[in-house]
Amino acid sequence: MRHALRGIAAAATLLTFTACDGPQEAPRVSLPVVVDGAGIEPVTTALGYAVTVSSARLALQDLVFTVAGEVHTASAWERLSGALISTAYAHPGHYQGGEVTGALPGEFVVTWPTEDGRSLGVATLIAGTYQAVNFTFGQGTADGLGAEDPLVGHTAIVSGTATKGDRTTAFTLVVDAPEARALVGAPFAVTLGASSTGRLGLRLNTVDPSEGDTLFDALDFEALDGDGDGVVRIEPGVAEVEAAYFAFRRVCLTHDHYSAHHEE
Amino acid sequence: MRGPLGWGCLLAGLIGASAGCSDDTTGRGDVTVTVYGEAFIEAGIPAEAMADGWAVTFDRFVVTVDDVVVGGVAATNSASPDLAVATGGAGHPIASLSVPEGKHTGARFALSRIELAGSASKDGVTKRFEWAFDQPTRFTGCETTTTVADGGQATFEITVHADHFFYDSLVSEAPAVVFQALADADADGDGDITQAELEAADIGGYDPGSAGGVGSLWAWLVAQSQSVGHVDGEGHCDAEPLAR
Repeated sequence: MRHALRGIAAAATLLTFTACDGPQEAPRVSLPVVVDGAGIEPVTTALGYAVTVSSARLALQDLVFTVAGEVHTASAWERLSGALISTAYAHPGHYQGGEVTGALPGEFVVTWPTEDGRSLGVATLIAGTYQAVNFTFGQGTADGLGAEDPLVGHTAIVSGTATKGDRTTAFTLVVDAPEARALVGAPFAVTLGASSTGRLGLRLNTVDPSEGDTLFDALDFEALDGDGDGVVRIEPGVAEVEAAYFAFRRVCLTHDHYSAHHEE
Repeated sequence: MRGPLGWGCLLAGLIGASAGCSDDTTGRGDVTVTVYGEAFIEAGIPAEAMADGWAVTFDRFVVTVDDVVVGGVAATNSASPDLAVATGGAGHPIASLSVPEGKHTGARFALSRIELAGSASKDGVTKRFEWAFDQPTRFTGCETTTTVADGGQATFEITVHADHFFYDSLVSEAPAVVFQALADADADGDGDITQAELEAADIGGYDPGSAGGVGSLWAWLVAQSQSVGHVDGEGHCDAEPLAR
Protein backbone atom coordinates (compact mmCIF):
# COMPACT_ATOMS: atom_id res chain seq x y z
CA MET A 1 0.00 0.00 0.00
CA ARG A 2 2.76 2.42 0.91
CA HIS A 3 4.39 1.88 -2.47
CA ALA A 4 1.25 2.71 -4.31
CA LEU A 5 0.45 5.73 -2.19
CA ARG A 6 3.90 7.11 -2.80
CA GLY A 7 3.43 6.52 -6.49
CA ILE A 8 0.13 8.31 -6.51
CA ALA A 9 1.53 11.18 -4.48
CA ALA A 10 4.38 11.46 -6.95
CA ALA A 11 1.95 11.39 -9.84
CA ALA A 12 -0.07 14.18 -8.27
CA THR A 13 3.09 16.19 -7.79
CA LEU A 14 4.11 15.66 -11.35
CA LEU A 15 0.85 16.90 -12.72
CA THR A 16 2.36 20.34 -12.27
CA PHE A 17 5.89 21.35 -13.07
CA THR A 18 7.89 24.44 -12.41
CA ALA A 19 9.09 26.66 -15.19
CA CYS A 20 11.14 29.82 -14.95
CA ASP A 21 8.03 31.96 -14.68
CA GLY A 22 6.42 29.81 -12.01
CA PRO A 23 4.41 26.62 -11.77
CA GLN A 24 2.61 25.49 -14.90
CA GLU A 25 0.26 22.65 -15.49
CA ALA A 26 1.84 19.78 -17.43
CA PRO A 27 0.01 18.61 -20.56
CA ARG A 28 -2.22 15.85 -19.38
CA VAL A 29 -4.91 13.55 -20.59
CA SER A 30 -7.78 11.79 -18.86
CA LEU A 31 -8.72 8.37 -20.18
CA PRO A 32 -11.09 5.72 -18.90
CA VAL A 33 -9.58 2.45 -17.75
CA VAL A 34 -11.66 -0.60 -18.61
CA VAL A 35 -11.54 -4.34 -18.07
CA ASP A 36 -10.04 -5.89 -21.20
CA GLY A 37 -10.86 -9.55 -21.62
CA ALA A 38 -8.77 -10.09 -24.73
CA GLY A 39 -5.97 -11.72 -22.77
CA ILE A 40 -8.10 -14.65 -21.62
CA GLU A 41 -7.42 -17.20 -24.30
CA PRO A 42 -7.72 -20.99 -24.28
CA VAL A 43 -4.22 -22.33 -23.75
CA THR A 44 -2.34 -25.61 -23.85
CA THR A 45 -0.01 -25.89 -20.89
CA ALA A 46 3.50 -27.27 -20.71
CA LEU A 47 2.02 -30.48 -19.31
CA GLY A 48 -0.42 -30.81 -22.19
CA TYR A 49 -3.64 -29.62 -20.58
CA ALA A 50 -6.08 -27.64 -22.71
CA VAL A 51 -7.22 -24.98 -20.27
CA THR A 52 -10.19 -22.70 -20.61
CA VAL A 53 -10.75 -19.96 -18.05
CA SER A 54 -14.37 -19.18 -17.29
CA SER A 55 -13.67 -16.53 -14.67
CA ALA A 56 -10.63 -14.78 -13.28
CA ARG A 57 -11.42 -12.40 -10.45
CA LEU A 58 -8.78 -10.13 -8.96
CA ALA A 59 -8.80 -7.56 -6.17
CA LEU A 60 -6.36 -4.73 -6.84
CA GLN A 61 -5.85 -1.12 -5.99
CA ASP A 62 -4.13 2.05 -7.07
CA LEU A 63 -3.08 1.72 -10.68
CA VAL A 64 -0.10 3.86 -11.64
CA PHE A 65 1.48 4.34 -15.06
CA THR A 66 5.18 4.94 -15.61
CA VAL A 67 7.45 6.46 -18.21
CA ALA A 68 11.16 5.79 -18.61
CA GLY A 69 13.33 7.64 -16.12
CA GLU A 70 14.67 7.56 -12.64
CA VAL A 71 12.85 5.80 -9.86
CA HIS A 72 11.86 8.69 -7.65
CA THR A 73 9.04 6.98 -5.85
CA ALA A 74 10.57 3.68 -4.90
CA SER A 75 11.73 2.50 -1.54
CA ALA A 76 15.24 1.31 -0.99
CA TRP A 77 13.99 -2.22 -1.31
CA GLU A 78 12.32 -1.45 -4.57
CA ARG A 79 15.45 0.24 -5.87
CA LEU A 80 17.48 -2.71 -4.81
CA SER A 81 15.20 -5.34 -6.21
CA GLY A 82 14.78 -3.32 -9.37
CA ALA A 83 18.51 -3.26 -9.85
CA LEU A 84 18.77 -6.96 -9.29
CA ILE A 85 15.91 -7.78 -11.54
CA SER A 86 16.99 -5.50 -14.31
CA THR A 87 20.26 -7.30 -14.63
CA ALA A 88 19.72 -10.79 -13.40
CA TYR A 89 16.11 -11.68 -14.01
CA ALA A 90 14.75 -9.13 -16.45
CA HIS A 91 12.16 -10.29 -18.92
CA PRO A 92 11.85 -8.56 -22.26
CA GLY A 93 9.20 -5.89 -22.34
CA HIS A 94 8.94 -5.39 -18.59
CA TYR A 95 10.12 -2.01 -17.41
CA GLN A 96 10.50 -1.94 -13.66
CA GLY A 97 12.13 1.42 -13.27
CA GLY A 98 10.46 4.57 -14.30
CA GLU A 99 8.69 7.67 -13.19
CA VAL A 100 5.06 7.59 -12.16
CA THR A 101 3.22 10.10 -14.33
CA GLY A 102 -0.28 8.68 -14.34
CA ALA A 103 -2.65 7.22 -11.83
CA LEU A 104 -6.05 5.76 -11.18
CA PRO A 105 -6.35 5.51 -7.41
CA GLY A 106 -8.94 3.33 -5.75
CA GLU A 107 -9.84 -0.24 -4.91
CA PHE A 108 -11.17 -2.49 -7.63
CA VAL A 109 -12.43 -6.01 -8.18
CA VAL A 110 -12.03 -7.10 -11.77
CA THR A 111 -13.52 -10.17 -13.42
CA TRP A 112 -12.04 -11.30 -16.69
CA PRO A 113 -13.41 -12.00 -19.27
CA THR A 114 -17.05 -11.52 -18.35
CA GLU A 115 -16.72 -7.85 -17.43
CA ASP A 116 -15.00 -6.95 -20.67
CA GLY A 117 -15.43 -3.24 -21.26
CA ARG A 118 -16.52 -2.31 -17.73
CA SER A 119 -15.05 1.00 -16.66
CA LEU A 120 -12.93 1.13 -13.53
CA GLY A 121 -12.66 4.90 -13.58
CA VAL A 122 -10.81 7.67 -15.32
CA ALA A 123 -7.02 7.80 -15.10
CA THR A 124 -5.12 11.06 -15.30
CA LEU A 125 -1.80 10.88 -17.15
CA ILE A 126 0.82 13.40 -18.16
CA ALA A 127 1.49 13.35 -21.88
CA GLY A 128 4.43 11.10 -22.63
CA THR A 129 5.70 7.72 -23.74
CA TYR A 130 4.63 5.08 -21.28
CA GLN A 131 6.38 1.86 -20.46
CA ALA A 132 4.57 0.10 -17.67
CA VAL A 133 1.57 -0.11 -15.41
CA ASN A 134 1.85 -1.01 -11.75
CA PHE A 135 -0.72 -1.74 -9.09
CA THR A 136 -1.04 -3.23 -5.64
CA PHE A 137 -2.72 -6.56 -5.07
CA GLY A 138 -5.64 -6.28 -2.68
CA GLN A 139 -8.22 -8.47 -1.02
CA GLY A 140 -11.94 -8.71 -1.55
CA THR A 141 -13.86 -7.14 1.31
CA ALA A 142 -17.31 -7.82 2.66
CA ASP A 143 -18.08 -4.11 2.47
CA GLY A 144 -17.56 -4.10 -1.23
CA LEU A 145 -18.71 -7.57 -2.22
CA GLY A 146 -21.01 -8.86 0.49
CA ALA A 147 -20.03 -11.28 3.20
CA GLU A 148 -20.87 -14.36 1.15
CA ASP A 149 -18.70 -13.52 -1.80
CA PRO A 150 -15.92 -16.13 -2.13
CA LEU A 151 -13.36 -13.44 -2.93
CA VAL A 152 -13.72 -11.89 0.53
CA GLY A 153 -10.35 -12.24 2.25
CA HIS A 154 -8.62 -13.35 -0.92
CA THR A 155 -6.74 -11.70 -3.78
CA ALA A 156 -7.75 -13.78 -6.76
CA ILE A 157 -9.97 -16.67 -7.76
CA VAL A 158 -9.45 -18.31 -11.14
CA SER A 159 -11.90 -20.93 -12.37
CA GLY A 160 -12.11 -23.06 -15.46
CA THR A 161 -11.49 -26.48 -16.92
CA ALA A 162 -8.39 -28.41 -17.87
CA THR A 163 -8.68 -31.24 -20.37
CA LYS A 164 -6.15 -33.86 -21.31
CA GLY A 165 -7.27 -36.71 -23.52
CA ASP A 166 -10.81 -37.64 -22.55
CA ARG A 167 -10.55 -36.40 -19.00
CA THR A 168 -11.68 -32.94 -17.93
CA THR A 169 -10.95 -31.41 -14.54
CA ALA A 170 -12.86 -28.42 -13.24
CA PHE A 171 -10.56 -26.22 -11.19
CA THR A 172 -10.79 -23.34 -8.76
CA LEU A 173 -7.54 -21.60 -7.80
CA VAL A 174 -7.60 -19.21 -4.84
CA VAL A 175 -4.67 -16.87 -4.29
CA ASP A 176 -3.72 -14.67 -1.35
CA ALA A 177 -1.01 -12.14 -2.14
CA PRO A 178 1.36 -10.96 0.58
CA GLU A 179 0.12 -7.79 2.24
CA ALA A 180 0.62 -4.66 0.16
CA ARG A 181 2.34 -6.67 -2.55
CA ALA A 182 2.94 -4.49 -5.57
CA LEU A 183 2.88 -5.66 -9.16
CA VAL A 184 5.56 -3.67 -10.96
CA GLY A 185 6.39 -3.59 -14.63
CA ALA A 186 3.39 -4.90 -16.52
CA PRO A 187 3.81 -3.77 -20.13
CA PHE A 188 2.03 -0.57 -21.15
CA ALA A 189 3.74 0.67 -24.29
CA VAL A 190 2.01 3.72 -25.67
CA THR A 191 2.66 7.37 -26.39
CA LEU A 192 -0.10 9.64 -25.12
CA GLY A 193 -0.60 13.29 -25.91
CA ALA A 194 -2.89 15.84 -24.40
CA SER A 195 -5.34 15.25 -27.23
CA SER A 196 -5.31 11.47 -27.05
CA THR A 197 -8.70 9.83 -26.95
CA GLY A 198 -9.98 6.30 -26.46
CA ARG A 199 -9.51 4.15 -23.40
CA LEU A 200 -6.99 2.00 -21.57
CA GLY A 201 -7.68 -1.70 -21.21
CA LEU A 202 -6.30 -3.75 -18.30
CA ARG A 203 -5.62 -7.35 -19.20
CA LEU A 204 -4.85 -10.61 -17.51
CA ASN A 205 -3.03 -12.73 -20.07
CA THR A 206 -3.31 -16.50 -19.85
CA VAL A 207 -0.26 -16.63 -22.12
CA ASP A 208 2.82 -14.54 -21.37
CA PRO A 209 3.10 -12.48 -24.55
CA SER A 210 6.88 -12.29 -24.22
CA GLU A 211 7.84 -15.86 -23.50
CA GLY A 212 4.82 -17.95 -24.39
CA ASP A 213 4.44 -19.71 -21.07
CA THR A 214 0.98 -20.01 -19.55
CA LEU A 215 -0.50 -19.21 -16.17
CA PHE A 216 -1.03 -22.92 -15.55
CA ASP A 217 2.21 -24.57 -16.64
CA ALA A 218 3.09 -25.65 -13.09
CA LEU A 219 -0.19 -27.44 -12.49
CA ASP A 220 -0.72 -31.17 -13.09
CA PHE A 221 -4.48 -31.11 -12.72
CA GLU A 222 -5.00 -34.87 -12.83
CA ALA A 223 -2.37 -35.48 -10.18
CA LEU A 224 -3.98 -32.82 -8.00
CA ASP A 225 -7.36 -34.53 -8.27
CA GLY A 226 -6.64 -36.98 -5.49
CA ASP A 227 -10.16 -38.39 -5.22
CA GLY A 228 -10.68 -38.56 -8.96
CA ASP A 229 -13.96 -36.67 -8.90
CA GLY A 230 -12.92 -34.33 -11.67
CA VAL A 231 -12.82 -31.30 -9.38
CA VAL A 232 -9.69 -29.58 -8.07
CA ARG A 233 -9.55 -26.72 -5.62
CA ILE A 234 -6.23 -25.15 -4.76
CA GLU A 235 -6.18 -22.64 -1.96
CA PRO A 236 -3.84 -21.40 0.74
CA GLY A 237 -3.37 -23.39 3.91
CA VAL A 238 -4.07 -26.86 2.48
CA ALA A 239 -1.00 -29.01 2.94
CA GLU A 240 -1.89 -31.49 0.21
CA VAL A 241 -1.82 -28.82 -2.48
CA GLU A 242 0.68 -26.43 -0.93
CA ALA A 243 3.39 -26.88 -3.56
CA ALA A 244 0.93 -26.33 -6.39
CA TYR A 245 -0.56 -23.36 -4.60
CA PHE A 246 2.74 -21.59 -4.19
CA ALA A 247 3.80 -22.43 -7.74
CA PHE A 248 0.61 -20.93 -9.15
CA ARG A 249 0.72 -17.95 -6.81
CA ARG A 250 4.21 -17.04 -7.95
CA VAL A 251 3.10 -16.99 -11.57
CA CYS A 252 -0.10 -15.14 -10.76
CA LEU A 253 1.87 -12.40 -9.01
CA THR A 254 4.42 -11.82 -11.77
CA HIS A 255 4.21 -9.06 -14.31
CA ASP A 256 4.38 -11.62 -17.09
CA HIS A 257 0.65 -12.08 -17.22
CA TYR A 258 -0.68 -8.54 -16.95
CA SER A 259 -0.63 -5.66 -19.37
CA ALA A 260 -2.44 -2.47 -20.28
CA HIS A 261 -3.31 -1.31 -23.77
CA HIS A 262 -4.54 1.86 -25.37
CA GLU A 263 -7.37 1.54 -27.84
CA GLU A 264 -9.31 4.16 -29.75
CA MET B 1 34.73 29.51 -2.54
CA ARG B 2 35.23 26.29 -4.40
CA GLY B 3 38.83 25.15 -4.51
CA PRO B 4 40.49 23.33 -7.40
CA LEU B 5 39.61 19.94 -6.00
CA GLY B 6 36.02 21.06 -5.67
CA TRP B 7 35.84 21.94 -9.36
CA GLY B 8 37.46 18.63 -10.13
CA CYS B 9 34.83 16.96 -8.08
CA LEU B 10 32.11 18.78 -9.97
CA LEU B 11 33.68 17.85 -13.29
CA ALA B 12 33.93 14.25 -12.22
CA GLY B 13 30.27 14.33 -11.31
CA LEU B 14 29.37 15.81 -14.69
CA ILE B 15 31.14 13.02 -16.52
CA GLY B 16 29.45 10.39 -14.46
CA ALA B 17 31.96 9.46 -11.82
CA SER B 18 30.60 8.72 -8.38
CA ALA B 19 32.64 11.25 -6.53
CA GLY B 20 31.65 12.90 -3.31
CA CYS B 21 31.89 16.66 -3.25
CA SER B 22 32.42 19.36 -0.66
CA ASP B 23 32.03 23.10 -0.63
CA ASP B 24 35.63 23.73 0.28
CA THR B 25 38.48 21.29 -0.18
CA THR B 26 41.53 23.22 0.93
CA GLY B 27 42.14 20.83 3.79
CA ARG B 28 42.14 17.08 4.20
CA GLY B 29 41.27 14.54 6.83
CA ASP B 30 41.50 10.80 7.26
CA VAL B 31 38.62 8.43 6.73
CA THR B 32 38.90 4.95 8.17
CA VAL B 33 36.89 2.42 6.20
CA THR B 34 35.51 -0.39 8.32
CA VAL B 35 33.40 -3.47 7.64
CA TYR B 36 30.99 -4.55 10.34
CA GLY B 37 28.59 -7.46 10.53
CA GLU B 38 26.79 -6.19 13.62
CA ALA B 39 25.72 -8.46 16.43
CA PHE B 40 23.80 -10.70 14.03
CA ILE B 41 27.09 -11.94 12.58
CA GLU B 42 29.40 -11.57 15.56
CA ALA B 43 27.02 -13.11 18.12
CA GLY B 44 24.42 -14.75 15.88
CA ILE B 45 20.76 -14.23 15.15
CA PRO B 46 18.76 -15.26 18.22
CA ALA B 47 15.58 -17.30 17.96
CA GLU B 48 13.52 -14.33 19.09
CA ALA B 49 14.72 -12.38 16.06
CA MET B 50 13.57 -15.13 13.71
CA ALA B 51 9.90 -15.65 12.88
CA ASP B 52 10.08 -19.43 13.08
CA GLY B 53 12.19 -19.97 16.19
CA TRP B 54 15.45 -21.07 14.61
CA ALA B 55 18.62 -19.51 15.99
CA VAL B 56 21.56 -18.94 13.66
CA THR B 57 25.24 -18.60 14.49
CA PHE B 58 28.17 -18.01 12.18
CA ASP B 59 31.56 -19.68 12.50
CA ARG B 60 32.89 -17.71 9.55
CA PHE B 61 31.54 -14.82 7.51
CA VAL B 62 34.21 -13.59 5.13
CA VAL B 63 33.39 -10.78 2.73
CA THR B 64 35.75 -9.59 0.03
CA VAL B 65 35.47 -5.84 -0.33
CA ASP B 66 36.73 -4.00 -3.41
CA ASP B 67 36.39 -0.67 -5.15
CA VAL B 68 35.79 1.48 -2.10
CA VAL B 69 35.41 5.17 -2.94
CA VAL B 70 34.69 7.81 -0.29
CA GLY B 71 34.79 11.52 -0.96
CA GLY B 72 36.09 10.86 -4.45
CA VAL B 73 39.12 9.00 -3.11
CA ALA B 74 39.53 5.34 -3.98
CA ALA B 75 41.05 2.70 -1.77
CA THR B 76 43.74 0.85 -3.66
CA ASN B 77 43.39 -2.41 -1.81
CA SER B 78 40.79 -5.11 -1.45
CA ALA B 79 40.24 -6.83 1.87
CA SER B 80 38.55 -9.98 3.14
CA PRO B 81 37.78 -9.65 6.84
CA ASP B 82 36.03 -12.39 8.76
CA LEU B 83 33.04 -10.59 10.23
CA ALA B 84 32.33 -13.43 12.64
CA VAL B 85 35.37 -12.32 14.65
CA ALA B 86 34.06 -10.05 17.38
CA THR B 87 35.09 -6.41 17.32
CA GLY B 88 33.05 -5.01 20.17
CA GLY B 89 31.10 -2.85 17.78
CA ALA B 90 34.10 -1.27 16.09
CA GLY B 91 34.06 -3.30 12.89
CA HIS B 92 37.11 -4.37 10.93
CA PRO B 93 39.26 -1.53 9.52
CA ILE B 94 40.26 -2.23 5.93
CA ALA B 95 41.56 1.08 4.60
CA SER B 96 42.52 4.63 5.55
CA LEU B 97 41.89 7.37 3.00
CA SER B 98 43.11 10.95 2.89
CA VAL B 99 39.97 12.76 1.84
CA PRO B 100 39.25 16.45 1.16
CA GLU B 101 37.49 18.13 4.02
CA GLY B 102 33.77 18.56 3.68
CA LYS B 103 30.54 16.61 3.71
CA HIS B 104 30.78 13.71 1.30
CA THR B 105 28.00 11.70 -0.25
CA GLY B 106 27.95 9.24 -3.13
CA ALA B 107 30.28 6.68 -1.57
CA ARG B 108 30.47 3.27 -3.16
CA PHE B 109 31.97 -0.15 -2.66
CA ALA B 110 31.76 -3.67 -4.06
CA LEU B 111 31.36 -7.05 -2.43
CA SER B 112 32.95 -9.55 -4.76
CA ARG B 113 32.63 -12.68 -2.64
CA ILE B 114 30.84 -13.78 0.49
CA GLU B 115 31.69 -16.99 2.32
CA LEU B 116 29.68 -17.99 5.32
CA ALA B 117 29.67 -21.06 7.49
CA GLY B 118 27.64 -21.73 10.57
CA SER B 119 24.64 -23.53 11.94
CA ALA B 120 21.02 -23.08 12.86
CA SER B 121 19.32 -24.79 15.76
CA LYS B 122 15.77 -25.32 16.93
CA ASP B 123 14.24 -27.82 19.33
CA GLY B 124 17.42 -29.89 19.53
CA VAL B 125 17.87 -30.07 15.76
CA THR B 126 20.97 -28.49 14.24
CA LYS B 127 21.57 -27.79 10.57
CA ARG B 128 24.99 -26.76 9.31
CA PHE B 129 25.77 -24.69 6.25
CA GLU B 130 28.88 -23.63 4.39
CA TRP B 131 28.13 -21.50 1.36
CA ALA B 132 30.08 -19.20 -0.95
CA PHE B 133 28.61 -16.55 -3.24
CA ASP B 134 30.92 -15.14 -5.85
CA GLN B 135 28.53 -12.91 -7.77
CA PRO B 136 30.20 -9.50 -7.38
CA THR B 137 27.88 -6.65 -6.56
CA ARG B 138 28.63 -2.94 -6.61
CA PHE B 139 26.82 -0.75 -4.09
CA THR B 140 26.48 2.87 -5.17
CA GLY B 141 24.60 5.98 -4.15
CA CYS B 142 24.80 4.95 -0.53
CA GLU B 143 22.57 6.91 1.82
CA THR B 144 25.08 8.43 4.16
CA THR B 145 27.14 11.57 4.57
CA THR B 146 30.75 11.32 5.66
CA THR B 147 31.89 14.52 7.31
CA VAL B 148 35.62 15.18 7.16
CA ALA B 149 37.31 18.06 8.99
CA ASP B 150 40.69 19.47 8.06
CA GLY B 151 43.14 17.30 9.96
CA GLY B 152 40.29 15.29 11.43
CA GLN B 153 39.35 11.64 11.58
CA ALA B 154 36.11 10.12 10.27
CA THR B 155 34.77 6.62 9.74
CA PHE B 156 32.92 5.12 6.81
CA GLU B 157 31.36 1.82 7.80
CA ILE B 158 30.30 -0.85 5.32
CA THR B 159 27.61 -2.70 7.22
CA VAL B 160 26.72 -6.25 6.22
CA HIS B 161 23.21 -7.45 7.05
CA ALA B 162 23.34 -11.22 7.45
CA ASP B 163 19.64 -11.56 8.16
CA HIS B 164 18.86 -10.84 4.51
CA PHE B 165 19.88 -14.40 3.73
CA PHE B 166 16.87 -15.53 5.71
CA TYR B 167 14.29 -13.11 4.36
CA ASP B 168 11.18 -14.68 2.86
CA SER B 169 10.71 -11.94 0.27
CA LEU B 170 12.85 -10.09 -2.24
CA VAL B 171 10.45 -7.16 -2.37
CA SER B 172 8.66 -6.74 0.93
CA GLU B 173 9.58 -3.83 3.18
CA ALA B 174 8.84 -6.06 6.16
CA PRO B 175 9.94 -9.58 5.24
CA ALA B 176 9.85 -12.39 7.76
CA VAL B 177 13.23 -13.73 8.87
CA VAL B 178 12.99 -17.50 8.70
CA PHE B 179 15.11 -20.62 8.36
CA GLN B 180 12.64 -23.53 8.12
CA ALA B 181 12.65 -23.75 4.33
CA LEU B 182 16.44 -23.93 4.31
CA ALA B 183 16.40 -26.59 7.01
CA ASP B 184 13.86 -28.59 5.00
CA ALA B 185 16.18 -28.46 1.99
CA ASP B 186 18.52 -30.90 3.76
CA ALA B 187 17.11 -33.70 1.66
CA ASP B 188 19.45 -36.45 2.83
CA GLY B 189 18.99 -35.49 6.45
CA ASP B 190 22.68 -35.51 7.24
CA GLY B 191 22.54 -32.12 8.92
CA ASP B 192 24.45 -30.29 6.20
CA ILE B 193 22.52 -28.01 3.87
CA THR B 194 24.50 -28.11 0.66
CA GLN B 195 24.43 -26.01 -2.47
CA ALA B 196 23.25 -29.04 -4.45
CA GLU B 197 20.36 -29.59 -2.07
CA LEU B 198 19.38 -25.94 -2.27
CA GLU B 199 19.55 -26.00 -6.04
CA ALA B 200 17.07 -28.86 -5.99
CA ALA B 201 14.69 -27.16 -3.56
CA ASP B 202 11.79 -25.00 -4.68
CA ILE B 203 11.37 -21.61 -3.03
CA GLY B 204 7.88 -22.55 -1.88
CA GLY B 205 6.11 -19.60 -0.30
CA TYR B 206 8.99 -17.17 -0.69
CA ASP B 207 8.06 -14.15 -2.78
CA PRO B 208 10.53 -13.22 -5.54
CA GLY B 209 8.50 -10.21 -6.66
CA SER B 210 6.97 -9.15 -9.92
CA ALA B 211 9.72 -10.54 -12.13
CA GLY B 212 9.69 -14.01 -10.61
CA GLY B 213 12.52 -15.94 -12.14
CA VAL B 214 14.02 -17.27 -8.91
CA GLY B 215 13.36 -20.97 -9.02
CA SER B 216 15.51 -22.60 -6.37
CA LEU B 217 16.55 -21.81 -2.84
CA TRP B 218 20.15 -21.52 -4.02
CA ALA B 219 19.14 -18.87 -6.58
CA TRP B 220 17.23 -17.21 -3.77
CA LEU B 221 20.30 -17.01 -1.58
CA VAL B 222 22.36 -15.69 -4.49
CA ALA B 223 19.79 -12.94 -4.99
CA GLN B 224 19.77 -12.12 -1.30
CA SER B 225 23.56 -12.10 -1.20
CA GLN B 226 23.38 -9.08 -3.49
CA SER B 227 21.31 -7.17 -0.96
CA VAL B 228 23.42 -7.43 2.18
CA GLY B 229 25.59 -4.34 1.64
CA HIS B 230 24.67 -1.20 3.58
CA VAL B 231 26.52 1.75 5.06
CA ASP B 232 26.77 3.19 8.54
CA GLY B 233 24.19 0.79 9.91
CA GLU B 234 20.95 1.11 8.03
CA GLY B 235 21.99 3.29 5.10
CA HIS B 236 20.80 1.77 1.83
CA CYS B 237 22.65 1.69 -1.47
CA ASP B 238 21.73 0.87 -5.04
CA ALA B 239 22.91 -2.66 -5.82
CA GLU B 240 24.34 -3.45 -9.23
CA PRO B 241 25.42 -7.03 -9.96
CA LEU B 242 28.67 -7.07 -11.90
CA ALA B 243 30.00 -9.51 -14.45
CA ARG B 244 32.14 -12.21 -12.90
